[in-house]
Amino acid sequence: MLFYFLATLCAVLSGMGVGSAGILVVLLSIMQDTEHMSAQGINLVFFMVSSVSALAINIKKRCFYPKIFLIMGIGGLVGSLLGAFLALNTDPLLVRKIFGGMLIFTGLFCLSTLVSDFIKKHCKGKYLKKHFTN
Amino acid sequence: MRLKTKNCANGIKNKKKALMFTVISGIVAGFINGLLGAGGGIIAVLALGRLLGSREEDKHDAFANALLLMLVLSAVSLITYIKGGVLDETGGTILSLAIPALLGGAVGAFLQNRFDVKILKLIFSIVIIYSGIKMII
Repeated sequence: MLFYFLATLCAVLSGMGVGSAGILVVLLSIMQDTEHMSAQGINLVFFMVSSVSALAINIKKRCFYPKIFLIMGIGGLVGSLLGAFLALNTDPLLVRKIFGGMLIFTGLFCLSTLVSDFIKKHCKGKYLKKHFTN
Repeated sequence: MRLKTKNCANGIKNKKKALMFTVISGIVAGFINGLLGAGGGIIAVLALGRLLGSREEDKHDAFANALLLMLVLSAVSLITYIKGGVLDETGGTILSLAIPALLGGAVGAFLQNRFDVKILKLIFSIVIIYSGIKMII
């Protein structure tokens, strides 16, 4: 039950734009003993279903850019095929470690944006007030 | 849904550079998503954010466009995974996760912009750094 609750939470975060970064892969590996490559495949399906549902809510409010979508999509198509082919032909243990590296990188990136937003909002204003008023 | 065209990206003045940037960011997002089954979305959101502009509205548009793009790219990766036999015995798990995915995605989209997500992002960052370390060790 806890697993399904946490999986729902992952989809909520994804729909909110916070991101889920494949936490479901970790949950599947740790709580369900799923093999790493299968967990990645399940995560793809999970993401697709949750994003269809999120898009259904978003689609009326947002602008879509077909030209950018098409150009980025063509590049993405090549990248996806290459990436998936490489994943299937690489030692799953190595893929798991790269996956762990990606999670750490994403986490550090999110933290850095939070810190820089905080500095911009609070410290910069104070610095300008201190040095440029009067 | 409104369809718009942007010939030249806001953040990149040169047309050729903008085109190269769009193609390369697509390749990188697709590659990471195909290799790791996740993680391509953050690249797509960042790239589209750079291309569409820095207003709050543009950021939300970037997210929605990235979601649509990653939906298509995930389908391509998924087909390759299925052909590789990775998902042969996972039908039950996938079916059992359909309701959490549908429900969670809709609730998340509904909650978007309704409250400040900074605390949530902080917790999320710590959780994924910890998860990453666990996956490596």
